[in-house]
Amino acid sequence: MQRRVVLAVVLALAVVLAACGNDNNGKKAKKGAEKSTAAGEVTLGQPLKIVLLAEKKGESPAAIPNFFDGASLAVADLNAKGGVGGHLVDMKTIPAPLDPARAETALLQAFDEKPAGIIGLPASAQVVPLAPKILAGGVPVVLLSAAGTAFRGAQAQGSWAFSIRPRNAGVASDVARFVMDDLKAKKIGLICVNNPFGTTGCDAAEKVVKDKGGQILARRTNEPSATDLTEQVLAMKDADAVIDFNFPNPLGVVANQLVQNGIKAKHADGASSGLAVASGSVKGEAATNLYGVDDCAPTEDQRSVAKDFSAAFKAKNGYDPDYAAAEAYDSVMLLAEATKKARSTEAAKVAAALRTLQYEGLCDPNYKSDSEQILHHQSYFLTFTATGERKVVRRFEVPDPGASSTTTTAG
Amino acid sequence: MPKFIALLASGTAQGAIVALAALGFLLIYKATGVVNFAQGDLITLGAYLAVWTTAELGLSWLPGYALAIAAMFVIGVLLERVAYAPLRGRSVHVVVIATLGAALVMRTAIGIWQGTRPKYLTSPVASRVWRVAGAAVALQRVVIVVVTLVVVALVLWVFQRTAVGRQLRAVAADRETARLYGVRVNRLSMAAFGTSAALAGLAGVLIGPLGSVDQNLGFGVMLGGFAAAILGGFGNLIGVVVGGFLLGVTEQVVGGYWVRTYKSALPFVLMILVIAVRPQGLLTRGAGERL
Repeated sequence: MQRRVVLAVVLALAVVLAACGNDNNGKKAKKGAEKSTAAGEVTLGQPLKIVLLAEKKGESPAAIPNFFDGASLAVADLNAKGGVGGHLVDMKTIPAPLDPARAETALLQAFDEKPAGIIGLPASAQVVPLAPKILAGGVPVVLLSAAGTAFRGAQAQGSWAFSIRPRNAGVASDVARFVMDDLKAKKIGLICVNNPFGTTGCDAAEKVVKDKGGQILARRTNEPSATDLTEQVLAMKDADAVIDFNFPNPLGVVANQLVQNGIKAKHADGASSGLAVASGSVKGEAATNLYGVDDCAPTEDQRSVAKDFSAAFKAKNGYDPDYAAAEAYDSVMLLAEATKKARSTEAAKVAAALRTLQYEGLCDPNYKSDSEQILHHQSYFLTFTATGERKVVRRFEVPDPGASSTTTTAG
Repeated sequence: MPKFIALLASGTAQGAIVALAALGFLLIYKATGVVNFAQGDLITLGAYLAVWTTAELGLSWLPGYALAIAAMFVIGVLLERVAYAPLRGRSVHVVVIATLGAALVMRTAIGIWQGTRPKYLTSPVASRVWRVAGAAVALQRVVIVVVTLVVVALVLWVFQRTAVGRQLRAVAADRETARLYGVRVNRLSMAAFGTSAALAGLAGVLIGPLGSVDQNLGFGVMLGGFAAAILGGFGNLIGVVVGGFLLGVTEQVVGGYWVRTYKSALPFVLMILVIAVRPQGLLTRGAGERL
């Protein structure tokens, strides 16, 4: 009996000691996760895990492959150099359709993966209804859409939501400044697609025009699928310039109807202009009369980082990269840099690092989080030739409304 | 005055396209009793097929358009075989849901085949303008109206003067009795789906050059076509065509002078008014049934 008691005590002690030993090993491993090598490289205890919420080609009618192709190239580039923190980067893609209910399911699936960061939701129609879930998610989400109305002011600061796209209202204000300062227009007509993108764009442009002493000659709206904008275009006949925040199809209709009606006003739009001209629906005088904007110009950028990216992307995917591919690429790189800076794959530490990180990427030589956690602060003005080639006029900065900065231009 | 003429021309062209879509609805409805909610995506597919034949196969516009419209006829027949024939005899609601499913499949297939970037459909008159009393009218819109009037006249002739038309009217009146009299209702429903898809293809080919071709091209037209079919009483061929033109002119002319911001809602306001006041449709005789 005594022997049995002694044996039991010895066994119990052995179990306790073994458990302590495991715990110590675990602590050692955890400490090891954040240690730096002699060369300054961070060694992480586990791989950097990223979830991409975007659709690949064919996953829905609206799916475009550019986001996945851009992010995949970034992961391949990182892993070719040994990954991050001594581990290969692990990216999981979950399709996030435009339908908000299904996008919500995709977002919840992404949270379940417990990644260090999520990249995705390319449409503001997805982001706006999901904003409360993103804010409570506990994982930094780098949004691929300019969802300006979803996260504003104090709510945005310190939250889990970051945006890789420049502020929509900021771009719209800069387009209005460009039209008034560079094109010397005073009487302005506004055409806005009937959705938050068009309305916020026109509101911001109207404010700039009025602040600068210009005159809003007419303001009109149209449906996203409109194929006839006769009334809207005729209302612009005495304008010096028409600022148009529209989708590519109606933008093409406006551009052509302005010419057909002999209206000589200059025509300025956002990123849709490049898509409309590239489709071939806007050409000749309608194209030379058009000014556009793009978030990113990786194929025109002369920096070696952009040239290398463009060449590698085209070689891998068979088409030239656009802003969507480049911003997805930059998003992966930003999360990798934030992880290195945080010396951890813990979501909260990665988010904190993203808030203070400065990074030279493809689309912005100086990515940094602003008062609403928008990371990207520049875009490009474009012109087009009669045959549809685009030309970058100049780069411009999209200021942070929370900072006392003004618009500056760069070459 | 130039503004009125420009708006009237726009409204007439828009109405013509809506009338083509409504005719497509009506043909299938008469032959099968089903409302085909894939009509909008058939319009889009027709435009994409024309882009493919002209821009990718390198055909000039006339054979390119003709090939696209012929292909649409075949696609319509296939649609009948896949989404209607296996469900014949089932509730109309089941068939309607099947047409919605077919629309989603078509939309996804277009996305995989052509991508989501807008495409451009060439036209020999795309950039030409006709000046009428100081108004600039795009020649493409004139072409739309002329082609639609010719097609409507042709369809009316087929309906009123040919054996196929008589059979179609017999099926619309009483499908089972028509079958007992030897009308081949299955062939007729295949022909109706094929012709309806060809009309949708024609609509896509006509509106494609006005802007760019994207996946939403046909959706708004389909809604307008549905409203026009209700205005016309969903049985009266002339009524449906008149309904289409009325909707286009109302949206462009009334919406061009008043209620500009909400002008896209005007056709549907008109539709609701007709349902409330004259549920049998504008040109249909007899007492209407309240919905």
